[in-house]
Amino acid sequence: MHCRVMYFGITRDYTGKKEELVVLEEKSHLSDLHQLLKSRLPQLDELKSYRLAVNESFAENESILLKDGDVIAIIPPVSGG
Amino acid sequence: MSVEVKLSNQPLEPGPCISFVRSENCGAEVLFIGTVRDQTRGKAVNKLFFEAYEPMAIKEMEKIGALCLRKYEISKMSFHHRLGELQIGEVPVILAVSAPHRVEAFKACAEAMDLLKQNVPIWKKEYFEDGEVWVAAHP
Repeated sequence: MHCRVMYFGITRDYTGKKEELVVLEEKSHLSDLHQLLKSRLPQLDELKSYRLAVNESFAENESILLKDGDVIAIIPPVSGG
Repeated sequence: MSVEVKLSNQPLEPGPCISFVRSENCGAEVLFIGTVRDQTRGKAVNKLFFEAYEPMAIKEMEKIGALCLRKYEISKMSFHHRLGELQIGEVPVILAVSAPHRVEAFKACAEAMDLLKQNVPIWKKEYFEDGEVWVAAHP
């Protein structure tokens, strides 16, 4: 299945792109995608913190199952206002 | 609707926010205007850039409004945030809250701004003479 991953702020600087399609095995959990992203983007470790959002809501836990077409965003520390 | 949220690439004005929250049952309107400072931690800032995960930012700002309406005795909230490039003295954020009495309006205004800075996916880049940095990204 395919999920769309979106990058903002400093993580967009890391990747050089706003978003990409990621191929995942069926019944992947958010934690599986998180591991994949960490291996592709070791710079995530340098951030003060970050959160993941699924379909425009913060993910409360990473054990949730992803489905085809889900949109995941890496949310680095926010700084609005 | 009691909560109005807007993201805009155009300069923000307080007038429409005040007009939105004005209510005959309210005796108080609190208006917060955030402005771009010319320095941060003693270092001169030339300009700022704001970007957002727009649909999620709007949802999170609406959630803040709904939470404040449940928690405080307020009537209406108008919450506008600017995006794009801002110069010193320009306005990144305006928040207006109306309430029957001022104390609840002040509290709701303060909490909504705190929550904006914690939960709304908007990012600020500061530009200095010698480089640029995404605010709060690193420890």
